[in-house]
Amino acid sequence: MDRDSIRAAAAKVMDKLFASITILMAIAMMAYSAAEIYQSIDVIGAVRCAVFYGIPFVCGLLIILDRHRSVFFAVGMFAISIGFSRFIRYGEAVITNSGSSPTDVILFYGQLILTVLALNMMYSGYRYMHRNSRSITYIILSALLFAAILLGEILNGFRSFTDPVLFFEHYIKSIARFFMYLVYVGLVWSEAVRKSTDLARMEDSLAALRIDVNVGPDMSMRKEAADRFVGFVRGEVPGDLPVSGPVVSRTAVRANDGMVWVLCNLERWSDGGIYMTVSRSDSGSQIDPTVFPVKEASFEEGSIVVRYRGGRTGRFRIRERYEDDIAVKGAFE
Amino acid sequence: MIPPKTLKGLFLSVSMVITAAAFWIGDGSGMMWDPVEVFCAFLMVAGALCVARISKDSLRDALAVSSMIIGVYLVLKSISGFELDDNSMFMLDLGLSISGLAVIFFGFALFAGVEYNVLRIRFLSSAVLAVVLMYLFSQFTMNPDIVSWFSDSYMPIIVGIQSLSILIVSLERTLGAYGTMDSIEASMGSLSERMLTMSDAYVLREDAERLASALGKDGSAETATLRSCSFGSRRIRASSADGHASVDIIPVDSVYDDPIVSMESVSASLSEKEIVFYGVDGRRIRLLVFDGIQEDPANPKILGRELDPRNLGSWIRGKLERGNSDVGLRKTN
Repeated sequence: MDRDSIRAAAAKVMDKLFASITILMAIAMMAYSAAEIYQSIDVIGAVRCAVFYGIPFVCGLLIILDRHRSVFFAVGMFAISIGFSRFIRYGEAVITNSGSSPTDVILFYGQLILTVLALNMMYSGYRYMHRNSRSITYIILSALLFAAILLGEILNGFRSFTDPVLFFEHYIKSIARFFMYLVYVGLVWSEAVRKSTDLARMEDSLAALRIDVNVGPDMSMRKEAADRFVGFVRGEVPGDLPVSGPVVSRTAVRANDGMVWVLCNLERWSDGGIYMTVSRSDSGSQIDPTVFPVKEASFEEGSIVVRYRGGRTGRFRIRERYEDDIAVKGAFE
Repeated sequence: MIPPKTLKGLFLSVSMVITAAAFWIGDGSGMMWDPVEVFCAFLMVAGALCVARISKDSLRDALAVSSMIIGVYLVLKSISGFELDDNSMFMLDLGLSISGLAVIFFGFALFAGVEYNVLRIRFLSSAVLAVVLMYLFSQFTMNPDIVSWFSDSYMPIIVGIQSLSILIVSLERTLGAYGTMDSIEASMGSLSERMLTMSDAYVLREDAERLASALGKDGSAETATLRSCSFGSRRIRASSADGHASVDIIPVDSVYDDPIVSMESVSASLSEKEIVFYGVDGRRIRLLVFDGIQEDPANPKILGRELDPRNLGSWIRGKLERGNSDVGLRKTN
């Protein structure tokens, strides 16, 4: 089994892991909701309990029912439900706060800020649902901070309670919230969410353009890929991929555009021309990519120099390792 | 029927008249007939009439003129009210006069056609409005008597109305350049329209067969839907006339009907998984082929229905307008 197959299998495991994290998130939300209702029902009544804390339970249920295990949906539902729950609670406190003592005034502004933050959280959820994440660094940091505070609270309670049943009765809400924040960090850190911020989406489009037109400043490939590349252009190495239409032989070699892996697809056509296209993967659609008509390829001082029809040339640095930038190369030599 | 843009401009001019009247009649200083006060009130009313007239042609110019007038008004009012004995009032008036100068400068630059960021106007007017609302709300919670509350909050209400009118005008999308990120995103969007980043484009098998056969039959043309879960749908047209076969990809909802991609096609190769249109000099369009419409794994699928949250707004509007709509919700197997 080669390394790429192991990598592909690992990617599948990661997908399954993230799918299971969405379920963990849903369970944590439902547990939190149930714990809040259990602890507050005698204090604030059933109706207000349902309004304040019922939404996270319903949203958790919807996440479990989602057969696609959509990360965006799970993160969005979390933010919207928790934000809504807080908005209703703090909003009600703001409206009913009628005292004029300094404490009441401070409380009023504190609750007002929390209400605005809850609205902000709902907006984040809306953005997640639209697959357009907001900057995730602060979200992760603040979620970790909350998780750390909750962990401290739980550990403190663990020390002070000797009866485990009593401990769980008192701290079930905090434990559920702790897990909820941890899972939230995991989901927000997922590739899907990270790659859907405004900046990441722009980077994706720009990278696709750069890869397509092949103007990467540091195009490189490993020695065996370089041998295959040059051999195919010279007609010494046969194609190893299925062909159709005017293509008589075809091969693909992996190269690096900076730190990004790309695929150089080489085709020999029935008209005698050799054409190269660069893409992110060998599968999927490819819509009128930039075509480089290759005339010849040769080795020159640790590089392949490719001459295109029309007089332009290109150069691929030959790497010893996938990641042999200068520092790594120095360390391993 | 007055166009919405003119209505926004009219609201701006009415709020200027209200501001002028309120500060002239009701500031309680007993200086109603002071020449500066009379001139300020006259300036605002005359400015409001100008704004109302200009808003029929250009909301941007209306905002510019109103900014200049409000700026002059602020400067005159604050300079005439300078109290050298009272430090805090002096600082407040000084701050207001400097703000007035800044507003005049902004209005002038806006009128001169300088590029500006409408987001800052939105942010500033929203911030003033939020402060006013918070003040009004806290005043009311501490003093629920409506009459005394109104007499205490008279001036903040006027400032709030003025800020609201500027906010409403600045929310007009056609007003001008918006945020840098929005602008970059729009540029990226148009680059992505070229579809270099689209790797999940597919056609249905029956459409692929029609398109392939159209290329081989002189005088025939077929159009089908090119689908993508990530990038939405486009149209693909294959035609053959006078011995020249071509494949075009056309946007669905663009104001132009020009193809995004147009390729003279030599042949089409249809296989189990893909269809490839080959052009000349190595050009090609490779599309995936599926028997049915594909589910988008990033969308949630609950109880057999795939929900696209990005279409939720359209779906709700459709429900409200027509009683039922299948936009946004898709029944899948």
